[in-house]
Amino acid sequence: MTTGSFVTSTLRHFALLLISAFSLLPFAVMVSTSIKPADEIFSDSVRWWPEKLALVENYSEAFSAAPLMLYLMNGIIVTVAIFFLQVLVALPAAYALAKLRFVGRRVAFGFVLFCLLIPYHAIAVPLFILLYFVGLLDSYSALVLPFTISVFGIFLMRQFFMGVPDDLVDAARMDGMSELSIVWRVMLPAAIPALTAFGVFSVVAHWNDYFWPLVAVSSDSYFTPPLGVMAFRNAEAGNNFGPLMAAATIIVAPLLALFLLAQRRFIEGIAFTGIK
Amino acid sequence: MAGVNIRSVAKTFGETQVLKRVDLDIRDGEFISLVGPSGCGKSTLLRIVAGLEQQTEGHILLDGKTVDRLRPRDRDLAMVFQSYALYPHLTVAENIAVPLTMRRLSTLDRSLMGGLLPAARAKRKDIAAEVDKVCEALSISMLKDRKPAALSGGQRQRVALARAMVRKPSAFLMDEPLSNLDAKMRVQARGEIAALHRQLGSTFIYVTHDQAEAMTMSDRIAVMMGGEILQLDTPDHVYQMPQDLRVAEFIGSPKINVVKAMHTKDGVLAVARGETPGQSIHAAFRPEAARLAGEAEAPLAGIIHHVENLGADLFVQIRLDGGDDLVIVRCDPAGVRPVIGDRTGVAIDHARLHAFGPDNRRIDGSFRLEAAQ
Repeated sequence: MTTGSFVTSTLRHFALLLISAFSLLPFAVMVSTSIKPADEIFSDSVRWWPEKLALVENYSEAFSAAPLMLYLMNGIIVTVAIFFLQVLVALPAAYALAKLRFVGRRVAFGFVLFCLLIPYHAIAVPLFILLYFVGLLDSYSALVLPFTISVFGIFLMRQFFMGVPDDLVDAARMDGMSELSIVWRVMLPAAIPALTAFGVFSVVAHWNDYFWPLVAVSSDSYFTPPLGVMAFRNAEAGNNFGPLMAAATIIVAPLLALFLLAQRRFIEGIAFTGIK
Repeated sequence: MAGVNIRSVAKTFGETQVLKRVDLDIRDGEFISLVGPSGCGKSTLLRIVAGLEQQTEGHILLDGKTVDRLRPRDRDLAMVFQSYALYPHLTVAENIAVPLTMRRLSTLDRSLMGGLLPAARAKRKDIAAEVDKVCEALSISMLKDRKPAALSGGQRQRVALARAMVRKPSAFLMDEPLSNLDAKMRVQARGEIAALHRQLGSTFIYVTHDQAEAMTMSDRIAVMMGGEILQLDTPDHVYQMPQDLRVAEFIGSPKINVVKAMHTKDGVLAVARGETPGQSIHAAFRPEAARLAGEAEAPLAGIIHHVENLGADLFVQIRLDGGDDLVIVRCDPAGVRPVIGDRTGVAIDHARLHAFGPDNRRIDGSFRLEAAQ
């Protein structure tokens, strides 16, 4: 390695370190606060490791002050249901847009692109009114149904399916598969990397979603983790930061684990190199 | 087993006409090749027979029955694709089994529950036995548990053949199955496919742009160009009696020699130079129908431009006088070696001289070619 490239590489890594430190800092503060007793949190000196460890207290408080397990369970039910239904809709739709010839295909794809531009906050009020009229507010359905059709998912899978050779689809037709069998038996296995990428996006977005659950549900038996965390803020004893941060850490942990598990496939899926 | 009848099938994509009312009757058990340059409509015709494409006009008959409205799966045909189109996530054995499982097992049988149903288990056993038999026949038994990504091109091609054979379809459709193989494998695979055809006795429809594949394997060849069949005949006839100048030029390697000529009197063609007044005729002869000769006795003369030595044959390119036209003459390497830059005459075996009119169609009769006047 020449000196010049060593210097640029050092600079590059330094810059990257700086950026990652910047984004990791809040997490570090969160974890650090979650193991401090209350008096140390409000002391004026910054300390990463507490003098008196309050790990057990804070975490047991987090689990006992609010039904955290219930919120985590709700989070899992809602994100899994959303992802499952999104795949159920997006794969056939993407297959049709990528591989079938029908009148209006381009218009349909145009609508998909158009819908990508609409932030869901913009349609939250109409959705709320709609759910009110069908009487589904304050239920799992209210949390799941608005997200079952993911135009982003349709778009992502359509782009991926464009790269699947037409011959493979024709071979499946000759072998006697119906169009739906082709979607589930040929396209789905080929699309695992892209699906993983989409899954990470979808699960992260809906696990962390605060806005819609706040609008859609009011009884705390349907609270998702982010809503649950807020229970600590509103607790009658003022802001209880230790247990609050402990709860936040618990809530983030499953996402981190999921991402680490899916990391390789996720990058493959984004890079669209899953097909030979 | 079935014959295939194609009755005035036409296909248009938007404005472009890909097939112009094609008629073709394929006998039961026949090996027929559709050959032509890319874009001539041969693959489209095959896909229409398969049912993967819908014709704009005309009918397809299998075994005497119209199948226009049937889906591909109901036509009892099997197809081998150029890219082999194996399912990447299934093993070789599972790939080969797909046509059988999709047809014989119900949705319930195929589900996870299927393993518990005795009837489904029995069917799966039969299917596995049939897959084994086909693997044996194509000697790919040792590959059964591999995924397609771990196979060579030749092995993938065999697996694709096995997947087509396993169902014992009434006819095989092959869309350039050898063009992804290297030259050596291709020659070997050519022999294997021909042997397979003799052994199975099924109808084969084989699409290729390689005239050598068509010549070596087929009972009959259909030469297609511009969306129509120019000639349908045995390989011998297509080679020796081309009915159209474009057929003559497409079939045979090196290409047939074509010189412009004028019809002077009965059966005599005079070589034409430059712009020809009136209607010109194309005189054509294959490299092996000509020999190098003295200039005085030959109708054509020129300078030796290049000599290609292929070992068994010597192909001599001659640049004709009064133009840039090249003709190729086959010589015996054992004889006198021609020298590049020398002048020579080209004598033609008149029994093997073809004449084509201005419309490219063959003019029947025997002709002599004479030097320019």
